[in-house]
Amino acid sequence: MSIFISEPVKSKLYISHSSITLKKSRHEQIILDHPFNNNLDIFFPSIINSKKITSLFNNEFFYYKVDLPLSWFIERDFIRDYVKSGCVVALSLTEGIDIANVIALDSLGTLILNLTKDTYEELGLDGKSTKFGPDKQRFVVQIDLKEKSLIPGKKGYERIKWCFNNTLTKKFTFLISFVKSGTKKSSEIDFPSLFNAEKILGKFDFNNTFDNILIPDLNMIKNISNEFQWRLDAVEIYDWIGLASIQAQRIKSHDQVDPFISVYKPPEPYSNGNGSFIKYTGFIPSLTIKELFDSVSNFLREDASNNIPWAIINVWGFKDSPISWNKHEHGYFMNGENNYSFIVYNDGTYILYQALGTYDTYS
Amino acid sequence: MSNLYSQLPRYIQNSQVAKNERPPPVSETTRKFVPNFVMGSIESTSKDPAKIYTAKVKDKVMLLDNPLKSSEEKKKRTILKKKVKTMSAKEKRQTRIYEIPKECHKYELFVPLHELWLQYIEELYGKSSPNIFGQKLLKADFHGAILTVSKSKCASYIGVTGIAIQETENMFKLITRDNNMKCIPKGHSIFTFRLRDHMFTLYGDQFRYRSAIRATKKFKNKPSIDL
Repeated sequence: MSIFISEPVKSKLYISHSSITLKKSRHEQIILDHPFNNNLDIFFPSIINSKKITSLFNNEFFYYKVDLPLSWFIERDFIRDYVKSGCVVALSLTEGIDIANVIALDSLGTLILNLTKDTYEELGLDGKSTKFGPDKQRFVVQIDLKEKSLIPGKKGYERIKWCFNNTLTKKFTFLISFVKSGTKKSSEIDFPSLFNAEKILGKFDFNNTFDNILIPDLNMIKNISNEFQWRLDAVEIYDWIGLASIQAQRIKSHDQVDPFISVYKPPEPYSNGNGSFIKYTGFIPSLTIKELFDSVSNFLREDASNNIPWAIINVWGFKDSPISWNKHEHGYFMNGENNYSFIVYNDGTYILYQALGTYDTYS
Repeated sequence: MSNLYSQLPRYIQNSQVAKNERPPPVSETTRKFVPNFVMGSIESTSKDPAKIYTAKVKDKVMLLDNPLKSSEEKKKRTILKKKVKTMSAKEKRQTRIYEIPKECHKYELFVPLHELWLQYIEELYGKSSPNIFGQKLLKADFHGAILTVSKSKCASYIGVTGIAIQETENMFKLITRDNNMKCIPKGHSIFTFRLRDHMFTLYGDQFRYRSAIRATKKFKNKPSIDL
């Protein structure tokens, strides 16, 4: 990593404004194109009965932690039973994308190998050098598992198989989840017993209330009247969303912190209120998030009288994932942010924030 | 497989020409005079003049004439030497004298060469430790070795295995098991081969000399930083 940075590195934040009801709305695509989701929370500006919440949002999901050799991914059975009949997503758990090899299988069935130079020079598959970091020190190899020509007997397939059996035989620890295209629910994967497969249920945390906080009036950014002003307000609101999601003391209504430490004030106008969270951690399939998004927007629409004008959905991607959205290359450098947040209003309008670190080609 | 240095065939040994071969004729006086003269002129302090004579003089050819001194004669000689005709590089290219014709790209054709190489390398290895053997390997000949490309900047070279049939300054030409000839540049590649259940690694970048020069070159320790 170079110490001589010529210009200050910038993280990116994209803000967009749209509505679910519009035909061109990208919200589904944004959710589905983001395959590696680590964390999710949903914030309501009111305390909701936990029983009600549980019944509404109990989307069960599970995933596996398993030691896999790469040759397993190109087996015909795996491609037929899982890749082509649903959505398999896998991500290797390694030291980090700056220093180690990261292998990922995205939702479109592309196996992405983000390799260090040493491994790439031993592997024997053609790749490209990464867009970020020192020149030609990391390489990306992409294999499309859904490609028609990837069948035993063909030259390309045999070469990949030979490489995975001879040069890169190491087992990687993967997080892997499978959603069947028919049921759209997390489904089982059969692993041979020597892979130490461990089934992990998604962690739900419904009983998360956060009372006596200062909640800004999000209706002020619901419509864009002055774009420049709107942008400033939206960024301020995003700050508040961040503080709310870590349940910071600074937004408590009785907070009296020394101004030497913090001079933070929630964006005006704000009012006193309570909040409640639903939290999910793990390896969350995008389809589950999409279903949650739909149920949140439905809940808001039906519950219009019930004093919940909006909700916030925050999603944090894995920082060390090799791609962010839709095969756009992703790196770490200073931070590996690839997060997004939705503010959903009860009439279907939403504001989308996409936060990305420096090393990302998405735009 | 026959031995590396086999004996002359029987029919040559028994031929009339061979039987007529005699040592060069020496006159009787010389035969008597020389030992006496030499042994007599050795100082009496040394213990056994006869032994010294057998070790240093007997059956040896010695130049008794004075070597050429005048520069004219030397010049003549060098001119004579220059007249020996060799092919120029261009001629070599045009006649394709070092190219291996396509019909000879067959693995079986080179298996005997490999067996020959195995004998040679075993002899070179002898009883030396792998460390010392490493030094010897620098100067060894690799025609006939089965080399594998284990690491390379170019992805498609990796994993190529074959008998090395030709070594040039920057190339190894390998013939693979499926009868293809592959030209692998030595630069940016690392080769391995197996011998006595040891894996030996050749760093191609450090190996970029013609094999004839490599045999006499003095190598210095140099780290391999990058391919």
